[in-house]
Amino acid sequence: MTAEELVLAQEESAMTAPEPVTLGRGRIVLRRFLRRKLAVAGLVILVLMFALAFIGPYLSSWNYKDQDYNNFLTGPSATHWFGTTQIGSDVYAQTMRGLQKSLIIGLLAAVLSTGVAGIVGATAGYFGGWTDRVLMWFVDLLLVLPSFLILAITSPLFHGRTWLLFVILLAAFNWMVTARMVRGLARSLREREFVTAAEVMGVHPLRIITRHLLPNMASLLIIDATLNVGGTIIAETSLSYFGFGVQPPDVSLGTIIADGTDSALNYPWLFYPAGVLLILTVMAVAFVGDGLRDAMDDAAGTASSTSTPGDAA
Amino acid sequence: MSDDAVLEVTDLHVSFPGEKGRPLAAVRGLSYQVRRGETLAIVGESGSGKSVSSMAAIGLLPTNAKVTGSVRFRGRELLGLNDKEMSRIRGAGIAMVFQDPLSALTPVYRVGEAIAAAIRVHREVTSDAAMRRAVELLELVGIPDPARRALAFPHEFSGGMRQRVMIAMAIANDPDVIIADEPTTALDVTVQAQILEVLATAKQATGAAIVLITHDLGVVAGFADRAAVMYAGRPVETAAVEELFAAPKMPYTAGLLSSLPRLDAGRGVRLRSIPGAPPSLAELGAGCPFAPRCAFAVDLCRTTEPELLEIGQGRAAACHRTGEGLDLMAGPSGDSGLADQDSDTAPEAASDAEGAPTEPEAPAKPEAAAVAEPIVGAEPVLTVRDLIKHHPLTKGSIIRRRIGTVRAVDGVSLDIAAGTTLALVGESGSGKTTTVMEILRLRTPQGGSISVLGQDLEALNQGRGVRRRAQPVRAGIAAVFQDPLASLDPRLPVGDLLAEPLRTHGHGKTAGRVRELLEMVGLEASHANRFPREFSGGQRQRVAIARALALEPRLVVLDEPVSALDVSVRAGILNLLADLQRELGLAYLFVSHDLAVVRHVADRVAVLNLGRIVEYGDADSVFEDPRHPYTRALLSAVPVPDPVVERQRERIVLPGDPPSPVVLDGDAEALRGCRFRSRCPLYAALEKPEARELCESTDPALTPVGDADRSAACHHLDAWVPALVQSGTVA
Repeated sequence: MTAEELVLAQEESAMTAPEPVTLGRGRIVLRRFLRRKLAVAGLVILVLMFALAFIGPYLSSWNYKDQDYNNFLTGPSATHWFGTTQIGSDVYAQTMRGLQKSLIIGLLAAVLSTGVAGIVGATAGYFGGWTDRVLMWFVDLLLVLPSFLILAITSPLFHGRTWLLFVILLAAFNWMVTARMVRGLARSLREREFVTAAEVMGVHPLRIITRHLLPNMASLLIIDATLNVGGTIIAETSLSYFGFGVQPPDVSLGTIIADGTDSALNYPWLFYPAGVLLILTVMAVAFVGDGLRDAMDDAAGTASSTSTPGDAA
Repeated sequence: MSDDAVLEVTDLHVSFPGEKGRPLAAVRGLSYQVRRGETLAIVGESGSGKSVSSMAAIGLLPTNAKVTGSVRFRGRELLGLNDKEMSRIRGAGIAMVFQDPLSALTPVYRVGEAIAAAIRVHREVTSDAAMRRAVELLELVGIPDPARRALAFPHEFSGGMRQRVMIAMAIANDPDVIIADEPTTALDVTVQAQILEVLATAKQATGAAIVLITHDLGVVAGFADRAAVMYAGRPVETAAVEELFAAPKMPYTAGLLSSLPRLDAGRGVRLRSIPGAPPSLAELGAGCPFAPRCAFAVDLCRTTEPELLEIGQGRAAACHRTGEGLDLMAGPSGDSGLADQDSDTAPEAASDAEGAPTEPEAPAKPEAAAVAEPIVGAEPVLTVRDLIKHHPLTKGSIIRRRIGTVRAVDGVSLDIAAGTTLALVGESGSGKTTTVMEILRLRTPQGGSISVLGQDLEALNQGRGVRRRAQPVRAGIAAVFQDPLASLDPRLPVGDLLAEPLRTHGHGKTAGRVRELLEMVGLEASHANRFPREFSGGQRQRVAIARALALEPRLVVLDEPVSALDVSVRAGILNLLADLQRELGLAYLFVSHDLAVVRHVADRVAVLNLGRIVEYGDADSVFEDPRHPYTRALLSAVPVPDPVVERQRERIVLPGDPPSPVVLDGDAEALRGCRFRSRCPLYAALEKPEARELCESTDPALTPVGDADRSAACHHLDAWVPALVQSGTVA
């Protein structure tokens, strides 16, 4: 145990001085998370992005559906803060609308897909046997069936439904590879002694999965979810071909970027606002993910690195 | 003295770049010399710098290590030589034997080729000649049928045989120095005895000096001439082995010696334990690194680190109080030296914690006092009858076919009465862990019966609601595993770990009980918010013990509970277990391969070989008068940490490896007769053919021996009883 940890321990005991309070894992992780500057910064950025996405549209007099027939493809100005598009739409209003859509779609689909992957993979890996075979057979089936084909076939059914269905579809075609990785990890974790210890204590199998297996692969799950956020925001555009979710005149960051890419050099305002916001979003999510991972994983160094330096004697 | 020294290390310092630019000093000022034909033991716990120092001597450290001082081999300075020049010395002049022979042998080379290659690196010989020499060497180290085995790959050898190959490779070029780094740590005790003999043979054959790096004082006592004890990167005492064991001059050495459970000491003797844990190299202060754990520390010790000073012929100690004639083995009059605390964060708590016989401050359960003394005829908490666990051995990946059976547990019967300790002893592959897991999992046994707390498992597993009905049984039986780092979920804080059994069994409020449990095992309530990794090994095992006690079980299964711990913290854990047993009236099923530890804790002993119990009975009587040849051999193989006793003992070295419990289909011969006879010294010594015939044809059953409470499975129990442990030393 290092001197810094001692300091940390003393801090902790000082905080809880009169009657030592036993904190659960959640509280400890939260406390450690809040100690990480970068992670908190990421969280703040995310909150600001949401604020921008939902308050931003009211700051400008333009609506994302409006078209200004006097201004086609004009650069940023006092009336059109981010300029206008080929058909005279206000880029600022479109970007704000796009941010709204993309934040919700990206975060929700990422969490959903990682969650399904974690639960299915861990269940298959932990129970083994027939559970494993059936679940993995299903995963393999989804992997080999071309998802676009299924979408093309089923798209008439879903046409014009809510965006929530769209989120579910995005997640549904994204979780299988992770599920296979999780299953592999679960199979090796199952052999670890702490799982055996929980089993002989009589802990319920589902509780073992949620309480012991999944937290021990938190790094993988968090990284997966982080990558998924950016991935789904972009992937969403390709699904738009099939008439799901975001349809013109509605926009998302993905569609704005897709439309603006061709003219990025000539008319940069079509592309950059959405691009920068996307990068900011993914970065903020990555910081939060990193912080969460470090907070869960108590590697001796990181736990104390943000505790008062200099006190370490 | 230095003129005939082959290896001379002077003032060796090794440091690694640490965090925040502060170097970590792994070795701080080590000096030693070894002469030809001499064995020097370097003794220390994990992190003491014993391995790093020898790696530094032969230039095998990573390049970021900073090495200063001097290492002279036959007068030639080795530090500063480039890798090419060092390679000429390594393997030829100085050879190494590593702890794990599987990772030290290249898996794609046949062992004969590997040895031949080692020869041809240093000598101009034809490959035929090198191969012939390799076969000779394999024969020298006792590998049967060496010409054929030379063509086998490392994975086809058992651990002991691989280590023999390593030794053969080490002596291939007649080295002047053999550095053996924990050569027997990964091996079973009977194999350890064989390997030590092989090392002795190798020493005789080459006349080399041996530098033996080990943490096992028993091995030191039997094998080494001189010893250097290391602590926190520094040598703290050097002496001839006899003097070291008879009169240690440094409190750490004395503490280590008196904290060792010994085979020749009686049961239940309280071990003296060294409080605290070995320091981490990052947190060394100005004073003596042992001062926080030392019962004799004075103010000077906390400010100035003592030098290693010569105090006699070939003898040196690093202690400020060496000249004062303290009786280190007796311990101080105060309680602090006996404190069981192993929390290095709370030295003040350590000093006033528990003295020798503790006042039980833990909330004693009403029945605790009643069962404190094992009552004859007390109700059994565990009854196992003819337990069988076989798994099929299959071959092929697509079409699996059964080619044999692993007879892991093959008819084991045990009884544990409330409040007593039964020890299960055996080598690897004897079925100890399988037996334990069969009991802990509470499933219907494959064959035979298990009854836990009066509840028969077969009945328990029939009908509906098995899970719910099994809960009260699960609450009454708990387990502590070997490695606390593996058995405690690294992602859960200690508070949650301890609360888990409580929540599982429907206790709502856990905070109070968690605090109580932590205090019961000598930790602090504030430790609940820390993660397992933030504790030392001994503290972690305390957490695991606390978790086992959460539901007030009546039977605790301890699977090698101290094997993964440093020597100096083992005594603390053993004492804690003894205290808890007395206070709470626990019954223990204690699984161990370490007979000295078993001798210390067990009321009754069951010796397991190949899934069978070969000897069963009262611990005192089994240890003092072992009757089954396997028990005798096991006992004689355990080194006693006392050079005088150790060198006079008669040894029974079992030939071969612990046999495998695998029986191939259609191999009726393997099941015929006594399955121990292939290694049995008694069978080999039998003269009458009809006596041998009995061993070959009939499997011996457990039969009562002497008093009614003992039994052993051997046809010739009265044939031959040599004294194994010197009678004078048996307490």
